[in-house]
Amino acid sequence: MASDGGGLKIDNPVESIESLSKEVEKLKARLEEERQKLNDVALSTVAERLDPLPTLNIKPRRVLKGHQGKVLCSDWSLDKRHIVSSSQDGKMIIWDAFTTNKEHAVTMPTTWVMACAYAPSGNMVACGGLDNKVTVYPLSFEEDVSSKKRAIGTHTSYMSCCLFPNSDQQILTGSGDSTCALWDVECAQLLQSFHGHGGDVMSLDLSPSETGNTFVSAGCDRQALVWDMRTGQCVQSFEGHESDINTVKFYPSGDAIATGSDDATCRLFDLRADREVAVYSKQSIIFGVNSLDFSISGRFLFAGYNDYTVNVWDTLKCVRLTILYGHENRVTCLKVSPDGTALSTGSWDFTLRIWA
Amino acid sequence: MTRSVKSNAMDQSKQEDVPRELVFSKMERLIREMQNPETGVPVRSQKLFLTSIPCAFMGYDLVEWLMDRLDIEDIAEAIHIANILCQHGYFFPVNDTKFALKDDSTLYRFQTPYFWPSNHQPDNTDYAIFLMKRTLKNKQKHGLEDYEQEALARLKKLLCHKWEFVCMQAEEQVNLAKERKKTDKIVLDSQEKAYWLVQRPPPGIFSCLERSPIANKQTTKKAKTKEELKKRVEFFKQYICKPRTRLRQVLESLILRCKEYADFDPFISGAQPSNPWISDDTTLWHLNNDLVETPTEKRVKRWTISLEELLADPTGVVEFEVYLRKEYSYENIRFWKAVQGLKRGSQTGIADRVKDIYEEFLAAGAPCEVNLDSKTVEVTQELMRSPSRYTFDAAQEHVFSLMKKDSYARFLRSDHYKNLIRNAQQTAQKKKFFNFGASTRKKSSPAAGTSKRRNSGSHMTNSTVDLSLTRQPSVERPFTGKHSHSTSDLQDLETPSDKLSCSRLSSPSVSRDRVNDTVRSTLQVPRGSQRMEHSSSSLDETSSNLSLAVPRRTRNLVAPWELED
Repeated sequence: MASDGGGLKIDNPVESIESLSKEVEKLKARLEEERQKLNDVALSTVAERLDPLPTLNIKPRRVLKGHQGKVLCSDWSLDKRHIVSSSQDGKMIIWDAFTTNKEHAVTMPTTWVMACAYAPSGNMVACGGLDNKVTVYPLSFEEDVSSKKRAIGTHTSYMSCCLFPNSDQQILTGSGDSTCALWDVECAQLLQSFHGHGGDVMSLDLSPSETGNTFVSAGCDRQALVWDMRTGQCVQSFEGHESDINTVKFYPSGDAIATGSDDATCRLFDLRADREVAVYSKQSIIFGVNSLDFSISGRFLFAGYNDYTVNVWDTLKCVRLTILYGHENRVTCLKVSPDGTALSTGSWDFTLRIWA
Repeated sequence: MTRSVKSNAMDQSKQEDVPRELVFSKMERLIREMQNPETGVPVRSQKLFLTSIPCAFMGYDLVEWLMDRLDIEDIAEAIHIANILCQHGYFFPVNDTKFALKDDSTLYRFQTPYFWPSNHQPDNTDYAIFLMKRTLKNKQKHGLEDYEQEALARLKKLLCHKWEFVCMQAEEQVNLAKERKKTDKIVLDSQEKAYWLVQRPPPGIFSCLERSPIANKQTTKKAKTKEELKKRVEFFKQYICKPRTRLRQVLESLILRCKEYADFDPFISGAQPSNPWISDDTTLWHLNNDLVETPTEKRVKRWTISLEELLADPTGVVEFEVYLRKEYSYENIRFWKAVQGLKRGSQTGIADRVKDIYEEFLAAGAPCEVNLDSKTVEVTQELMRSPSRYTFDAAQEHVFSLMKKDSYARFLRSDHYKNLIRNAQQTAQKKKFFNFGASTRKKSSPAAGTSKRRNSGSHMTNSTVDLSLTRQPSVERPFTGKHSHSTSDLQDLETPSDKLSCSRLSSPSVSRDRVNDTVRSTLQVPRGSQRMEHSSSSLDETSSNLSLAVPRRTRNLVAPWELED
């Protein structure tokens, strides 16, 4: 691919690169064949027998105002009420979303802070963006939060997503340099890097299973890759989207992943069947998906779109249940709270909203 | 190979933004359909008072067309889509500068494709010419707004080197316009004005055309090397042979998962006693703190779903530990936790900690030796040579499955678990049925059937209330005094303090107060409390003087009708 320029220097390797590329394509096609073999029924058909869900009555319950730029990312604290959010103007704010009070505001030395995450202990947050770095801020009321900040790792391009994998001691990041990386917080050291994406990594999610050592990442190469954290090896790959994937999330059981893309669809891929099992799309939805999440049971799939809305899907019946209106610009981030009682959304309209 | 062509094109013009183009093309396809003279939105000259407005259509016609074309049931969605299209400048209100679509007879006009956002990247010179032009025309009709005058002044400075050119262009265009027909003139003027309202919106208006700085994402960064390709070939070769599960089977399991958790999903079953975000009452969170003396019934029931679920809950771990101690298989859970800690801990001192764990749990004659099969022991010993955070993964997995098959199954059948369920807090209960005495909310009564609800079929409804009601016998079970096992009890297990158990027996409300105690500290130091450990001494001291108003408030919220009785 795109190797035309290299052909001028040496002749033979090009030949073999081409043949290798061909072989990869051939194998991919065979893989697709294998996957199709066990295709006996559609999810919506199996789910037909289920009773329809009761009417959802989700309303905006809180509006968090304070950012003076587009809100790009947010994350819940495990205490179920605090939220960290980051924005285009380089600010990171820690909210008590329940009271809507701002508890900390930190100015980052960069604009477009595209990723932020709450540590499981609730004592620390991590963030980064166009500065290519992941920085942690221990939270305390005694002193200025930014005085204690520490840079943990650096990518060679912007950092698009990060999370703490069940531990305050490690951070997992995804970057525009098309890699993911696992960092040790205390030593500020790279533990493992993950190569395999052919484009910017836009999103990642950790397997919810307690013992699981896998995570999934997805991005502009339209692929979702499942990784073994221990070895750094890719163990599964999923394709199907027709444009960049912006968001990926594990189904709560850990057996499937959902992706949301600029092609205006969400998709569900099952890891055991190793294939796509559902597409969530509608003629009237033409804008891309930026962020998605599941309710506790997995029955509801919430997705935030570029057309300012949140669409709520029935994961099993594959139908849209309702639309949440309220934001006045793109919905960039969306997360169900740890106990499943609420949904937080952040938008380019400078606000965050809590829905319940 | 199409993709590589595309990526080359992207290298050349950094402004290329494929996802954005994708959305534009989708919208434009729709707009073209709208303009179809036969099947599109009816466009004609509309009469407004005495004037005739050329080439316009009405808001509700468009909404209706969209509902029809896109198969939309809810009119709100059609209006929303119409608004988005309007904000992108594909059509615009004839008599308004606010780009919103109203579902009435308000008149709109289509933008000419030349001015569609995908076609045109305007620069400052274009804008300056447009503004200049308007200053040359009828002031009443074409006068500049304040922000536009400011913009013009700014541009004049910025473009001083070619300001003459700007003025000339403007004049020329005004002269050209004079030769046009009147209706054409009106239409063109309005289209141009609308275009600039989208491209250079007045202050305070969001522009939907803004981009993110990472717009020029690239699908292929660089040519793949031979090595990388070889790796990929290997990857796919292995991947193809991977075993796969039949689709029907996995789909059934996805459905089962939803069913199993429906009762625990607040979006399906609501939250008991109430959802804090809706009721402004945080009782739910207080009842479900990480470590509580008396978990709610829902929480205890959730532990029956799987061992993972039990171990994901700190209180669940504590209770399981208490049980395993009685069962003399405490070392398993301790080992599991130690490995968990190792995996999630810091990188420093990994080797030492690996050694510690090995000596405590795995070495021959270790103080807390766990039972492993010979194969796992072999694997682990092999891995011990280069200790890492994953050294004990196989052993941990083995111990986990051991606990799952054995201890966990027995835990669920045990008296210990039955007591937990019996003493659990019933948040969803309608207390009307019980005559508990006036003021204190006691830890309430028996809901003996443990996992019945999960198997009962009616999963998708809020069955908690109904079932607990029908099943309730109205007799309160005798207090066993064996119900509470907090971390503090763990410490006291060997030498039970008489005083402690005594006070617990005599006052059933103590343990509730202790919950409140956690609650209070949560309120004061929200951050520290997450991993807070119960400290037995301080709890006992405070438990007596902690008569908060919380129970009362809770009661009212749980059963507001109670006061009316």
